[in-house]
Amino acid sequence: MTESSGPVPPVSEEMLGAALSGAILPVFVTGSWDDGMPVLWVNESFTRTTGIRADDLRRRGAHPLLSLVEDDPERTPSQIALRAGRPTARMIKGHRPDGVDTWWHVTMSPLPDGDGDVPYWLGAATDVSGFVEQHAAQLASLEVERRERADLDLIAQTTELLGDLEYPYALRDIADLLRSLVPWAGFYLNDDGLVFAEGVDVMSPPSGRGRRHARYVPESTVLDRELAAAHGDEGTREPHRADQVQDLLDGVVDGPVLLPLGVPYPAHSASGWLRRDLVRRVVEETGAVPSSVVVHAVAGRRRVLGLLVSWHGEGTTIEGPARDEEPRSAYTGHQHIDTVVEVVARRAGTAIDNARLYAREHRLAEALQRAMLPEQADVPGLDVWTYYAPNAEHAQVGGDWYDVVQISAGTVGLVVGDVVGHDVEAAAAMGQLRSVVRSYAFELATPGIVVDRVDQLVTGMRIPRSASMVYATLEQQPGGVWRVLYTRAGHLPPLLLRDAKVTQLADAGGSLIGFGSEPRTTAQAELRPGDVLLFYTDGLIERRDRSLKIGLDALIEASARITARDAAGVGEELLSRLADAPEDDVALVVVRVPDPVVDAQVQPLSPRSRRWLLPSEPASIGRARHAVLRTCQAWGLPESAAAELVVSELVANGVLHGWGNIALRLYDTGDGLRIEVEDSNPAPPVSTDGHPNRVGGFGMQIVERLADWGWRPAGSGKLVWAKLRPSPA
Amino acid sequence: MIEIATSSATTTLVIAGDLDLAERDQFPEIAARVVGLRRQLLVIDMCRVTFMDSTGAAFLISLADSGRKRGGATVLRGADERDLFVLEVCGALDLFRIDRDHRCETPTPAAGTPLPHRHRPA
Repeated sequence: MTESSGPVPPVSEEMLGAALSGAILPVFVTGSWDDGMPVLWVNESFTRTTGIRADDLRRRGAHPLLSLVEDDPERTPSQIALRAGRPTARMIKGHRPDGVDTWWHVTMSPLPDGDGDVPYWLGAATDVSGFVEQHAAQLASLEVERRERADLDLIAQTTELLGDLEYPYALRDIADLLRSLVPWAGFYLNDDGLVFAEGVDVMSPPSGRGRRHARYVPESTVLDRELAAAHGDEGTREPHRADQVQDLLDGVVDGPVLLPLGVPYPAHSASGWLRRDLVRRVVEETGAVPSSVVVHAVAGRRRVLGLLVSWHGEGTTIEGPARDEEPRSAYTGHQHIDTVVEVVARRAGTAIDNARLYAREHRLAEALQRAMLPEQADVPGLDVWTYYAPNAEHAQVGGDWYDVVQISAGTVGLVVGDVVGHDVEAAAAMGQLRSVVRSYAFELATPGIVVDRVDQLVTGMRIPRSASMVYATLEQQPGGVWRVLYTRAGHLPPLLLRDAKVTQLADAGGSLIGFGSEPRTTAQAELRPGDVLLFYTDGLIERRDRSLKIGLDALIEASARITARDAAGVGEELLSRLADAPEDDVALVVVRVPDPVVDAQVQPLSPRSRRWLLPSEPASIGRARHAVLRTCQAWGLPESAAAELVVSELVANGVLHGWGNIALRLYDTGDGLRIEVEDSNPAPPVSTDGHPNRVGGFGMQIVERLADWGWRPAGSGKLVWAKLRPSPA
Repeated sequence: MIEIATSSATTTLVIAGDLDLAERDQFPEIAARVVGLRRQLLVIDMCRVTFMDSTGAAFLISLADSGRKRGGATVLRGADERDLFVLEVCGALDLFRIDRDHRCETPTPAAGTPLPHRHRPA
């Protein structure tokens, strides 16, 4: 702090003049607006920074200062202020003598005379280039940041869309997102030749292939006109030799490539096909004729699956004049667009590849499992019910199997067998054994001879697992009687149930398949109306805490108490008493000869629940409906028509969307029929399908109208239940 | 089983048996043939249909819809209450003219077993 040593003398006018002259700011004095603001005086700093002296400016006519600065939008309001004699300040851009652009902050102060006129103006300019550049840099970095965020957001949205490639318009929606960056974008897939793609056919093979691109593209007159305009007579022009797009598809180049569209290519070349299709589409959708496009490869693991084409706006309008006068380099952010499109293309490639690989694996596994699953022929005159439950958590197949095959009219072959173990190898051995038995069963009639031949073949085939089985034939005799011929290879005896008495069919025993040298024997039994024949594997009775003998006694005791009058009911009673916690695979076949007289008279006391295990195939839907109809009749339930519909929809859903087996269960709740359908797909059923072109959209709505329904996870899949509402009538 | 018969103005589709997912494989071809015939009127005869679920209904709806786009009409005859219920849930009854006066012939049993008899809609 300094102490004042007395009053400071006032600043003289001379000093003020010297101060203005020597100021480091450029300062100038002009005449009035009406006189064209002639520059009357400038200080040294003005001359130094602009390189112009007052004399030079005087020669430049009215408003000479304007020749020093660039035009700007603020000019008009500022001039209005000058005209009115009000002070004004603004930013202007000017040129320095060395040619560098400089930003000035210029203030104009009026120097009025006493009459209210403004004969002079005092101007002062400050060099603010530094601030302006800094500000511009900040704005630019903000813009870059905003754009990066927008790009990331776009990529996130495409990733989400790629998550559900079953949605038929996934690629179209992604292309739509990209159209916020470029005027047009679209996907092409190379599925046996290029094709425009709005979605992904996941059933296609996992790698793009095809070198002949001949899918029909409607003619576009624009194209020829363009060519003619660009090159005079098209006919004389040699087509382009290089097929950049094919190179991209073949992985010869990584891309992206810039594909000019104003030149001809060979007819079925990738470039030529793409050019035809693109020009037609872009003209239809935007009204402009593209002159070139950027093509990115949509690459999978091994091959390029398709293309992502983006048009950045170069070209002409349909009427002819140039659409975009700006040169290509002026297209802002070209680089970042290419980056985004590239990332989207790469992600799409991986997602499409994954979806197709997964679909292929799924189909393969499903086809193999289905080939392994037991089959049951519907046999006229016999009531047959089968059950199969693999113990393995994930596989649908195990080592146990059964087969019910119609060998000829009136003759049925029936196998139940068990390969040691319940892993994939056991399942594979089972599959081989099953085929062998089936082929001999159709060829040779007598069970002992069939199994003899199986023994011989299996010894030669070196099937790595030992196996047991029972093979039986049932021949229809007059009077509703069936003759049973059977042979056993190390397997538990089938049971014959008649009038609450149980007989073990324990004859014709022999060693396991492929062992022993004794010829197989064949034993005989008779099946009368009302009789039940039981074939089973040891999983039904085997428990760690008891011997097989005790288990067999328990089965015989349980069988003796059966009251059901249908095969499904017999099976249900057995399973509910014996197999609630099976430790092994279980296969069970129940054959019953209907007894038309007694069945109608006696009301069975058996529990009112039934279950079926159906392979996941369309034919199972009809079988499920028949099972429901029969059950409703047996239980005397009136709402069979509605039950048929509900079961049909639920099982159809299981066949369409689930895989492996479908379990169907029916319960009489006393208050309406309860239907349960279990499949191996954990995804819940949907009542209103979001995608109208998907099949099955109305199925659950039908169920909803007829029944209360719900679902819950069960095992590795889900269980859908529906309880029919009592009919209003 | 689905049979197509045609006259100058009408295509008649006679459907027998179950109309469900198991029959779906033949739907596209039949739809293509019906469309290719380009008749103004499509008559769908349901007298011998034993069962129809939403998959079958979707097939009939696609037929009626492509007919309507060409300015044609689709008549449904011999459909029972349950079939109409399914179409109603699918929101598609408007697409069809329901012929309630049609009397299904009792089909002549081919091999002694009578075909399932259907009671007619009221």
